[in-house]
Amino acid sequence: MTKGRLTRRKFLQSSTMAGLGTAAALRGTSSLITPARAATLEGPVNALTWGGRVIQSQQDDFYKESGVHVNFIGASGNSENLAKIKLGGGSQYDIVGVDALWVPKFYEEGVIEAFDMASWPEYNDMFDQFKNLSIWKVGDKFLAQPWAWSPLVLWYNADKIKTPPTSIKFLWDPELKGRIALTRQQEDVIAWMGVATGAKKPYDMTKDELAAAKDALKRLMPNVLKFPPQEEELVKLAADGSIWVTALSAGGALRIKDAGGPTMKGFLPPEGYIGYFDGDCIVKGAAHKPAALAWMQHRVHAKYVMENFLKYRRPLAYRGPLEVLKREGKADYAHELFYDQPEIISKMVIIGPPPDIGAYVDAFNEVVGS
Amino acid sequence: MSSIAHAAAQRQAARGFRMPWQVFAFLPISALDLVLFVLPMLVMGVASVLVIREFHISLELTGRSYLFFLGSPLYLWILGKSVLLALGVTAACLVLAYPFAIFLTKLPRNAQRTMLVLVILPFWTSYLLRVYAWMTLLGESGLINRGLTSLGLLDEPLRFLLYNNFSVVLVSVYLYLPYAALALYTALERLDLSLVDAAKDLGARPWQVFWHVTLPLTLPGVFASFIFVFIPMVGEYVTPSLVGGARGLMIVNVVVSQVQALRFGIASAMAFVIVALILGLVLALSKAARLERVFGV
Repeated sequence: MTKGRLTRRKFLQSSTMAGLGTAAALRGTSSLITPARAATLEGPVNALTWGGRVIQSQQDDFYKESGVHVNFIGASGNSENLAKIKLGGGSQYDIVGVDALWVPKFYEEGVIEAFDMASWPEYNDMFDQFKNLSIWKVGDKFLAQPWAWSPLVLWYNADKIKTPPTSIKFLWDPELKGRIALTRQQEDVIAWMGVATGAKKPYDMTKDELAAAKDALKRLMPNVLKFPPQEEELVKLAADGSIWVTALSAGGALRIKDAGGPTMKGFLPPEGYIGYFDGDCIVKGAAHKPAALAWMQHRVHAKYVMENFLKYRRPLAYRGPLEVLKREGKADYAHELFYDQPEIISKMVIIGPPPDIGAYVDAFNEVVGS
Repeated sequence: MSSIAHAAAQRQAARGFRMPWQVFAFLPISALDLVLFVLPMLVMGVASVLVIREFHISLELTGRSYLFFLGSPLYLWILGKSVLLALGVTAACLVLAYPFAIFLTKLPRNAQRTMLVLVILPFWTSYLLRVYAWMTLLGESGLINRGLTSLGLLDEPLRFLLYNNFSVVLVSVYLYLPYAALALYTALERLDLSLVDAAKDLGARPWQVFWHVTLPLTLPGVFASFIFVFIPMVGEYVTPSLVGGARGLMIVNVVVSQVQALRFGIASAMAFVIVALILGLVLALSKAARLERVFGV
């Protein structure tokens, strides 16, 4: 009487066969749907990069055109990205987002490779400052595709701080007790202190300059509410009135306003200010390099650059949206976000890896941990 | 040995050694443990005693990473501060959870089940959401401050409620309390109540019953609570980052900062010292509480 009865073994065997059959059928179907795509580009593209890249509609469009998915993996810091790429390499990542002076460091470590960008249609749309960026070039090839840039503006709550600041020294005003927050990027905090104490190269300070920066941070501590790990939290803290001053990129005031916060005004200290420009690099030995390069070409189409600018509200390395904004009578908006002032890039203290990052981290920890 | 036992032993010997089936049940978890815990620990152990300059490793043995950490009064102070904070949170959890667990065991069965569901209810939401919920309660424009100011009890919102060690302890106690309560409840459930009754019959006062009977017999639960709360608390990273203040640097933040500074050797040495310290504390506590007597081994 066992005939016809489904034993556990039979059930497992038949379900395994059914599963394999379905998988095979699906593979066949998908290759029927997109035979040309599969033949040309192999994906997915795995991009370990900064948050300000993601436009879902663009990913969808790229998939429709190429059949390749783009997976975004959120990056949390340049040094961590470097460590991840060192460990994962081209088999896990195709693209990595890197800040300004970190790009040569990535290249020295042998984790990224140069690529030709001059032949891309959107190359001519790029600001000259980026076309001629010698630290990002090896011969005629580029180490990174320029993307966003911005000075870090000191945004202050205009309702609480009535007298507009004229110097970075206003940060030490006792009236600001517990009202300042900066992101927990140790070397950037120390570099800000270097700017305030007149260091020549805030990301490459001498021992004496570093000691002065440390002392400045010590004196600043009563005014610091916290060092949150993410920028988003700065926006939240400013929006709910917990802090009155913070450093955010262009558009910081708009982001705070959007979060229900007060009117914030921006201030670029005459002593100097930190800024960044970033780009995406091709990971050396990337498993899906052709697809990654195709994606990088796709993302700089004027339409998507504009969409990105409107979403993330900081200047980009391409002129296209600027011209559109001017035509639409929004030149003031573009000016407010520094988009029409790429010359600022040469005045910024560019974020980069200090030669001895450990010394910067120790200086930060010694003040904050004591 | 009785003749029956002797015969059984002979039969077993005649059949040869057979692996008990329970060993196979442990294989999957052991494999996971090996891959996700033992191997990374081994890698870290090796990294902590090699000369590593950023990504360049030389196969030269050194104790420099340990010397750097153990020779730094600042980092030892932060380690001590983190351990003290973790001990404080653990103690607070035990003090709050013990009476609650006793209360639970006194309830009728159905009510106990309902209460247990309520205890584990917070686990149905994300850890981060729970921390953010506290931030909306304690913040300068949070519910507590708004409530008090709208009632006219405050002119200015209270600023000490959030972004300091107080808020770290408060939120951590909230997060870890269910673990402590469940472990203590399990221990109290197993308590032989006839021993409590015997102590009472012999004239012991309630506090004497608790101190001499209930507490010693529920020490395994206390110990489990300690492990569930103290160990993760020493390694807490997210809660202090979110609700801690500018000076809320914990030892794990320091380890992360060393990784960010590409000092992998020092970060590994720090992690190893933390593990050793926790193991040492747990063993010392186990000895001090003479748990082997309680467990009957």
